[in-house]
Amino acid sequence: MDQLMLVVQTCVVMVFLNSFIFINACYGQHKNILQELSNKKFISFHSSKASDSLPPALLNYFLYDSLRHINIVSNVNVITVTGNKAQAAAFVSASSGRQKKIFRPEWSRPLMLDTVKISLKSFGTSFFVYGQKLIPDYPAISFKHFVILDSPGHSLTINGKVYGGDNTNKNLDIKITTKDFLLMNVASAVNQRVFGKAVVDVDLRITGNSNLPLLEGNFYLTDETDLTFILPEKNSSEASAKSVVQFIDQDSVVLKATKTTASATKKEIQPGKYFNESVQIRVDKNVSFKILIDPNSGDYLQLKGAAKLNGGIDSTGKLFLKGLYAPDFGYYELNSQFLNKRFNLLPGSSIEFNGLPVDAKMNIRSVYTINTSPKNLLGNEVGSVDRHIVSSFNQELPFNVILFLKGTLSNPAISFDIQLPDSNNTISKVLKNSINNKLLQLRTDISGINKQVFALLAMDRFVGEQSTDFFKGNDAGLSDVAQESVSMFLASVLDHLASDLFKGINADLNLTSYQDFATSDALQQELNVELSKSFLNDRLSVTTGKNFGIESIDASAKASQQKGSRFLPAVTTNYKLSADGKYLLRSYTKNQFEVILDGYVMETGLAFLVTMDYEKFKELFWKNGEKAGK
Amino acid sequence: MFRFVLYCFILLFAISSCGVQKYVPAGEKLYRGADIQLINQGKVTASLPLLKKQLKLATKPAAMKFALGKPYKIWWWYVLGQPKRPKGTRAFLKNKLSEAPVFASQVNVDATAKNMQDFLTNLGYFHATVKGDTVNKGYMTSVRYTVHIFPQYKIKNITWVNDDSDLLKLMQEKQEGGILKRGNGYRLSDIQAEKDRLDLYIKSKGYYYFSSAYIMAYADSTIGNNEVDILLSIKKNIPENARHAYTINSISVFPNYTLLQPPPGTSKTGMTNFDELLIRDTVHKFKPALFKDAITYRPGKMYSSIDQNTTLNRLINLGVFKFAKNRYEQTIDTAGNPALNVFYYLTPTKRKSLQAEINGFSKQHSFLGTQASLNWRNRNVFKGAELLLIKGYGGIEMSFPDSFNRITNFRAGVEASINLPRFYIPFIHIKEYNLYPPHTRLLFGYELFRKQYFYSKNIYRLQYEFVWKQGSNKEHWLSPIALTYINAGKLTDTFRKEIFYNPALLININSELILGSTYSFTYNTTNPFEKRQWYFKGSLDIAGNIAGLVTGANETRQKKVGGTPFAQYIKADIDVRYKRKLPNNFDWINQLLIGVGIPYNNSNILPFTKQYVIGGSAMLRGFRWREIGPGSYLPTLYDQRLFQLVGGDYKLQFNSELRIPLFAKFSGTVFLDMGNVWTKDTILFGKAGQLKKDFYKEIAVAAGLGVRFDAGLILIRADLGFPLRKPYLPNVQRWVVSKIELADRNWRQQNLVLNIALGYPF
Repeated sequence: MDQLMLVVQTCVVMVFLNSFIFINACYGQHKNILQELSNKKFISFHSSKASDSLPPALLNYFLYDSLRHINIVSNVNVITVTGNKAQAAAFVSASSGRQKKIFRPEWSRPLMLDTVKISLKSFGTSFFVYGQKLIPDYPAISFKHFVILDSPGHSLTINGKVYGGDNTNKNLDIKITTKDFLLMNVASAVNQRVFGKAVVDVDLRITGNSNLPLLEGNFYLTDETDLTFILPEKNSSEASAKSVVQFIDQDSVVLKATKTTASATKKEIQPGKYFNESVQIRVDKNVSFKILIDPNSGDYLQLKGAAKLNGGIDSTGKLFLKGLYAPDFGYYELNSQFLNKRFNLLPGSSIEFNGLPVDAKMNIRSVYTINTSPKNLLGNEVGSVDRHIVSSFNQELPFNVILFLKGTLSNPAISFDIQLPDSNNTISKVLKNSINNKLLQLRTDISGINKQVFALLAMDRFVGEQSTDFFKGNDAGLSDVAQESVSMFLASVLDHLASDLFKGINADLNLTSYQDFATSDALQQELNVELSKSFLNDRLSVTTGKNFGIESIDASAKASQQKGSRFLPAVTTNYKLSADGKYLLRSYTKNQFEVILDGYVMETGLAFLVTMDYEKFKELFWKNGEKAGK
Repeated sequence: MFRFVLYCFILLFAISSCGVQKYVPAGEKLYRGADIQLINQGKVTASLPLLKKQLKLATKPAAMKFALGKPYKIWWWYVLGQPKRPKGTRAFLKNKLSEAPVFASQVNVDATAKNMQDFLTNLGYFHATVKGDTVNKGYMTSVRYTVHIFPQYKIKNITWVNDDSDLLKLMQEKQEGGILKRGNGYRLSDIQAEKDRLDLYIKSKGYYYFSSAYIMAYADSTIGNNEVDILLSIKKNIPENARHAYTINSISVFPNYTLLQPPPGTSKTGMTNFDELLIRDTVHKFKPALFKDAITYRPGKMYSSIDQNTTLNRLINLGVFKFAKNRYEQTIDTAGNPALNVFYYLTPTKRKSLQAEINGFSKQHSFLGTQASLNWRNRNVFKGAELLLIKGYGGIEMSFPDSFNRITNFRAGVEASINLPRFYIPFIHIKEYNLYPPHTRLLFGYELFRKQYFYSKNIYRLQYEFVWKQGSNKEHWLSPIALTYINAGKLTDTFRKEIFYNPALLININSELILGSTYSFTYNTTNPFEKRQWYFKGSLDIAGNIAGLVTGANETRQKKVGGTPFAQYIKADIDVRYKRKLPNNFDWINQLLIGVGIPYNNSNILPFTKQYVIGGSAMLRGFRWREIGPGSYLPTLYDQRLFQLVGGDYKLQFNSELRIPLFAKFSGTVFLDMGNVWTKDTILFGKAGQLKKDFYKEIAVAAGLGVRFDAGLILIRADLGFPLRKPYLPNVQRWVVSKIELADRNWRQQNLVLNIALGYPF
């Protein structure tokens, strides 16, 4: 966001630069002003003497402490303004000057600006001044229809004057008007915080003094505007905080925990001291903004819609905005390593500005709709119901994954919800209630909802919950995932699941270093495949030892079975041929005490089972699809 | 025919290997694979080839398959093209024969080098450098990674950075037995394991919201001398709730939970307070006492993950809930301390079930068979998760490799059992909080057994048994009452005739009552990934001791109970298995089996159902079932045909096999089996079968090779064995190794035994 400030500052300075450079030079406060300007790295003057490549400049400077005076000769020919980001070449002609002590400069006579071209990298476009006149009228400087042109040739007109006050603080009374002015046109580039195109209509009046300019009027972003803002990347220390180990040098790092006092409480956002928001900033309804939430992955928020905001600049030159921006249209684009999804903005989303733009509060809701069957979601948690209701669980329904984007622009926080759209009237009440009850229950369980959202986004389906999932204690890993962007959320859930997975998969390979390994795309994909495999594996259950027909899962036995290196005798493995477990394949070993009449022998076999569970005997005779009790 | 196929393959291979080049897109090269050069830049003590192998795994993408330097599978990929239907023949061939080409442009050399470097760092080989260079050769590119490796860093000190919190004090207390040890090599996995270990401990001390990710480890590798200091601390920015220990405020149970109803409110109305548990069971489906036993903790206790897991496991294992879950809600108790409200949501499964089952099996002694059964279950007969099972079955089994394929057994039977998820002993209540709930089973069974052409037997069983697990890897099984009553009938004329000639056969059809008690204990290595794995099973079977005392029996079949002579014996056996993982996924597996049965007073041999046998597909694979002994006895054809078992009272068996992964789902094996059985008495097989002092001279030895196909759920194997030592030969001629003549048809017919069976032999 600093970049934005830079642009605004540059903008303001540039508007005046053409005139003020000379004025201030004549004015004699060049030392201050130059220092000030060069501190801000906007300009620095080359010497008055001719450089090799340019015609001799007749403007002589004796800067700083050398002679403490300035000798201005008429017919200034060349001034080169260079800066970090700005390059301007000015061919200026000024008529006559006078020699005065530096402390009491005076001026008169108009200053002609023949051809001035100003190019600013961060604006990506050039501004031109052709044959315009500055009218120094001591102690004021007047602009009379001073015109600056943009590259397509639209004009920006400055009227008014700078007058009175003391040397460091001049009074201002300037009017700037323009229409369809191409203020900015930058292609995306490295180190560029803002890019895109800005076409503005401006009707601004600047009063007050140069220390505290008062802005008033209208600033209108026309429909040709299309801007992209890049939010600063998240501090990498946060990422490393998730890692297992950090390498340090004890001598240079203090590890002793300083008692964390309440200093963490955030400083109140204080709007600029002299902030006034008398500039009305309007945004055309066709203007689109793109906010890059996660520069690493490329997750962004695209917004489009009209806005009316109030804005202003404080004494330090910072831009302040106030008002509510409620876009009509927009979406959140997820650009994770392995999937792309678009969440469409829901009505009622807004960004509330009240101070620095980066501190704007987001209240954005967006939705991604997936058609999937609720079967895995409801899973085993539906008690005894009719078979036809159970079969209706298989039907595909639209589910909305709601993405909430809250927090400030500089520090966004996401959260999720899963909803069944109300409009769906085709499904039975029982099914609808069951789904809504489950979703209601999920909302109290962050890790649960995170897991389901991950499954919906990554695999387009719900994940069946197992009773054994609840062995993991608090499951802090899944409730404590990254919330800065959807991509980071996904990566973080994946990491968590991976750490569990890899314990099984590669335990004998020492690849606990999955965190470092998972950096490459290919590995991430591999992980994804493994993940979906493991989710599908819930049809397999294994028990060791004597079991009494209870289908519980013995994790270690399961792992050993999956490795294909069966070692334990007396293992019973069940594989559900149908998801409801009606058809089952079972491999078993019976021990010596169960095999009758054969002496000390064991029996190994494979069985096919058909099971029908029922509460009342008549349920056995219901046919599929038969509507009972309706 | 075979030659034709071979030539075809050679031809195809020749075509395929030269034809790939033309398919490679312009500007692309095929990726040949990675080559790693490890340069030891110091005294690296670890095995470099092993490291190299591990590093190889870090190279991505995986290289294609090559044969004779040619990527033959790619050729198929291009030739077969894009199948039109996803399940057609072409798609099938494409799946089976080809693989997608990997191009050099898909290889990210720098990222891979970085991964390899990270991998080495994670193993403590700091400052290792990895540089990747591509080498072009024809239409292929390979990558050569040069790895400079320095000695592994060792841990010098492990320190906790103290912040005086209770949490940290707990951690420090638990420092003993840590995974990180001074002098050990630095390994990232150890640090993670140590964190997990501490996390587990912390969670058992009330810190519900803690997570292993909240422990930070710092490593200072700047101290020199190839040593590293490990500093551990608790992260500063962990959530506030992770810093406190929680007590249990309330426990609510919803045993009738279903999503059809909205989530139950947390208000206490409608709840029954039973033994400090709040239970809402409006339809009285379950007795509250069920939860009293299943839930191992009560309000007021400090939260512990052990309680949480134990309780959940016990609830799942009750078998009446198809879904059980818990929820912990943060709250404040009356004293204002952090506390948790616990909710158990239990979705009952349907109460009854009807099940039809058909199975195919193989028994250790080479019988193959099939059985069909119909089972009926009621999972909650008395509202306390009691499982009632009624089962009817019928089956048939045959012994194919047997010299008499007329031996076919038929079985039909019924069984009724009731299984309780607790110790059930009348008038005694045993309180226990094990991870797995114990089970008590009472079983009645009847089986009709028919041995074709000979006789039928009626078998009646009554069993009262307990099973409980002591941890996940120790299981006890105690059956204080195990009654079996057997009587024979329906003798065929053939059999009667045989009895006339050989009255010893009567032993087959003697009525018998076994008044037994059995106990067995099983132990196995918990972690299936451990290099060395053990399995142990010990059993003790005592029968007729009380009946013997009461009746004062001292002679064979002298005393009777209910008109039937009872068996009197003590039998103990152990089964030890040891598995050792070898490189290249080879497994070496061993089994030792020792069984001793001592019939006394009222019995002179063990009942047939309890005898030890040898030979056959899983015990001694170079000898057919029934074709080997007890002792040095060689069973005659007559014995083989007419005796139900050719078994003994003592057994010694040792097996060893090396399992070798071959390709796809096939694996091979090389095995060595040895052992024999002996009798106590001479009644059946004379002196030759009796256990003597020099019994070790009568041990049979066999060896062989096998192929196994792992069909996922079950494994099918074909083991081909032949004898090395035949105990029935005269003492000095028993070793027959020198007589092996694979080329001799006669030898092959007499000695090779093909054992086909399901599942591993041991």
